[in-house]
Amino acid sequence: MSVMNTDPIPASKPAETPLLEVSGLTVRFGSPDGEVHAVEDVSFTLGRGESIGIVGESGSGKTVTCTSLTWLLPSPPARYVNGRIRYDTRELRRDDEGTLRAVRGSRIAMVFQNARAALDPSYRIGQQLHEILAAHGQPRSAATRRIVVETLRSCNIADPDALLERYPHELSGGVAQRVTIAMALIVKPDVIIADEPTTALDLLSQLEVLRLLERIRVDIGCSIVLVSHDLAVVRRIADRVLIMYAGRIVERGSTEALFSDPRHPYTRALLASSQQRLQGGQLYELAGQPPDLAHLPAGCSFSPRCPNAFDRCHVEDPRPIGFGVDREARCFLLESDGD
Amino acid sequence: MTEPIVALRGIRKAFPARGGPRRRMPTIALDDVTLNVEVGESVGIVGDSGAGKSTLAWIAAGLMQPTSGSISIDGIDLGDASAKQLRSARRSVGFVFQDALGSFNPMRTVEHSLGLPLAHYLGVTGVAARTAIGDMMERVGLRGSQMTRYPHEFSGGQIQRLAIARALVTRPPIVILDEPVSALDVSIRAQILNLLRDLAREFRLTYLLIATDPNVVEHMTERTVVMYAGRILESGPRAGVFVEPRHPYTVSLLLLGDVQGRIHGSHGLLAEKVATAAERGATSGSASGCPFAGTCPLELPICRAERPELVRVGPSHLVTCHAYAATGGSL
Repeated sequence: MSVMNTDPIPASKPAETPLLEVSGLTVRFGSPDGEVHAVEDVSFTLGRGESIGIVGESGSGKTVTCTSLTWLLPSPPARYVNGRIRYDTRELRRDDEGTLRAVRGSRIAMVFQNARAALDPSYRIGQQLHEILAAHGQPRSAATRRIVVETLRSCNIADPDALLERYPHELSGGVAQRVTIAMALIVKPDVIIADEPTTALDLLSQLEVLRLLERIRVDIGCSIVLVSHDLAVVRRIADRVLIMYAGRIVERGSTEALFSDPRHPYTRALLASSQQRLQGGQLYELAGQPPDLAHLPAGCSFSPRCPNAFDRCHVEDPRPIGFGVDREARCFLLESDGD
Repeated sequence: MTEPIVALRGIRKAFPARGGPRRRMPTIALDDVTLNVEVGESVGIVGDSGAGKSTLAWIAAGLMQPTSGSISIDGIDLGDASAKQLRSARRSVGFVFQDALGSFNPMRTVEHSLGLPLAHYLGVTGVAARTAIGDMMERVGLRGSQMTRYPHEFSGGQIQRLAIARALVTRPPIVILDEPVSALDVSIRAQILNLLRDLAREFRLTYLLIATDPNVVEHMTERTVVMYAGRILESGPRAGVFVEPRHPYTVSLLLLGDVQGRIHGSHGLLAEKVATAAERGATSGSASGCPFAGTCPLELPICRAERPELVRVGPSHLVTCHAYAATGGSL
């Protein structure tokens, strides 16, 4: 899918100390087939008011990364092998349930891909929004009703009073997704993590959701983590982009730099797919499938699909190589580039 | 000109209002839709969710009855067809459903699911069926040995290949594909679209491809039909619709999908206006006028009062728009 990429918001400068700092995150899952390496050694920062995009195919570890930011995945089955999360200068410890409870939902909120599944089918929209406020210490009152209505209105819901009485199945996909954004927004979080929020929507609804996220960021100054399989979706919103493949960050950089000069062959392939480039009368095609995370190939995980792979790629795993301004890619091709 | 292989005339489909505390009007999914598909032609249908694309697909495949209007498939008029003729008409159409995984029985092997149409329409069973299934699976890029597996053992892209194999295993002359790639990662989409193009050429298929993303149909079909709220607003050859879109809705749809930044100038401005109007919460157009009135930035007083007529703007390029008719084509 693709959406317009006109008038992007000017990139804001990340704050001195990042709001969120992830280092060395490594998450695995046990399976009868062997251990699944879902996320391997992922590190990144998110500044106050900054927005980053995490892009990769299904199974690249995007969602596990996002849910691990507040240690949401139950363990077992998840096995947190390594990783530290710092939020607003303090470390978020996995065993510190009290702090986690205070952060989850209220400081770091999530918006999920399947909006209808995120809503309870048997309760009216109004009840569900009030429940969130109640859970955060604001029992239902005339004042909370005003908050609920105003939040829905800020999410481009034309008639919020009528919507409060509706059930989730009565809403279109685009409206349902905007309701889940309102649910994330209602507690005024510092960070909104949006996991594929536009994937199930048609083009016009996609644009609405992206514009809404853009505006939220300006209006309430929260940071945004936008996850998508489509580079074109994050282009409009993200200041920086992380490209994930087989659980690892394979390339990172500012959105502008990454789009104008993608270095990792996987990033190039994603960009060509997203732009539906033609090649000899056929659509550009990235052959093959993402690897089985329980049986990763030797060397670089992308080497079996990589059009530029050479002998070394099949035996040795490339380390991240820095270049340019705050850019990095895990690819041996960068060594031969000489920068 | 030869007889169209699929002919839909004046199709109207109303879904009855559901009961319950709030009484509602019936939903008009299709409103006076006429569409002819010639032998060997490829037609793309684009539009937002709720435009009636899937309903049209089901009706064109003989899987759903319209409220009124007539359908003929491969020369058989479904309105007065015998049971035998109806079966023959349905056999002519392979269908790839929108939810590919959901269209397979999770309790049955792939061999069973692909064997059903072979047994039902052609009476082919046993070894002959296994051979046909294996051949078709190889043709769509899977291994024949995988036929003993269950649907959940396949990835999203593989399930889509299986859905295509099942639609083609009886070698129908017509295939209807309802959003065949919308559930797939962008990186996998091209694999499936290129495969479809190859198969269409090899089997000389007539096909109808439905998508919300105009980019998907652009590379895949010769003719594009743009739908909105149950009506066809514009239709024409690829070069006409994609290069010189005439309906304001088509322009906005193309701009939303314009990843390469090809659309500029007044067209770009128009699409921005449409997007902004839609964001404010568009009101739907009146039943008596144009369905896009209320969202359309070029709306004229006549748009809500009168239904726009089909206007020919080029060889087989048609548009229904009062603003286009009033300005003589300079949108």
